[in-house]
Amino acid sequence: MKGVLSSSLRFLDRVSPPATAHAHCDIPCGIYDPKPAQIAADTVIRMVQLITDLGAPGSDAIAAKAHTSQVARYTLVKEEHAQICKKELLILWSDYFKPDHLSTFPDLHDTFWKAAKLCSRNKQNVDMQAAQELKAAVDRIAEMFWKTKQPA
Amino acid sequence: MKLRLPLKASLFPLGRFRVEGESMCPTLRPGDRLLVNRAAYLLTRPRPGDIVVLRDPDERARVLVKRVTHLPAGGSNGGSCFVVGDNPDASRDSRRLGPVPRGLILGKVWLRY
Repeated sequence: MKGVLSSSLRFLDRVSPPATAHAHCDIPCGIYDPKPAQIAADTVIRMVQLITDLGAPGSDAIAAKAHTSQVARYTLVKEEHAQICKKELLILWSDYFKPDHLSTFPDLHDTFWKAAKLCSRNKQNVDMQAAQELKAAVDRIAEMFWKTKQPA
Repeated sequence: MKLRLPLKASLFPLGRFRVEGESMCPTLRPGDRLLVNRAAYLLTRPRPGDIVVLRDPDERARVLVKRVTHLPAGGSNGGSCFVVGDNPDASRDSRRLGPVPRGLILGKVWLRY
């Protein structure tokens, strides 16, 4: 019975196509991109560079204050962007990547976990090596991301 | 004799629809065909759990398929209902559409063929 009904309806569909019922998200979804994480990691590198380049504080009080203020500002931006990087990575990790991606990337969880930890390390320290490691980890994740977008 | 009806198709209570998009996964998949009862809510109200086709409140020419989640409390005045997609993966981004005026609901999904 179901078979007859189904094939009759399918026949009707060939004569006059059915209307479209959209099952899209209410706002555009599936817009995931590793770019924000990469920009944040680059910003961390830049801030580490700027702090390092700043050198020693000046001898007079005014110059010392200016120096402290500059360090504080660079540090603030460094911490903010390390945090943004972590947040963006977690979105990709928890929302974008699916269990079946694990077969292609068996080290997916480890990669994300270590990258997230590197975000914290970059908040704590002014360490160019840690900043470079973060960038490399985020780039590796971006690579994985774009691989999932390629047709199988 | 000329009949003026808002939708000429509403003369016939059954409508055929083809699903596009993944917000109702895994219940409905893209390409699924749906038979919709347009007369389902002439006498009864939508109930939580019903899958309905409705006009997009923001773009009336578009038809959406969603699940009714609940009816607002005390909504006896012709009322409205809340609808949402089934796909949990989309839920981070998907704002609930509701409440949707009852008048936008075109019918209840009866079966998939």
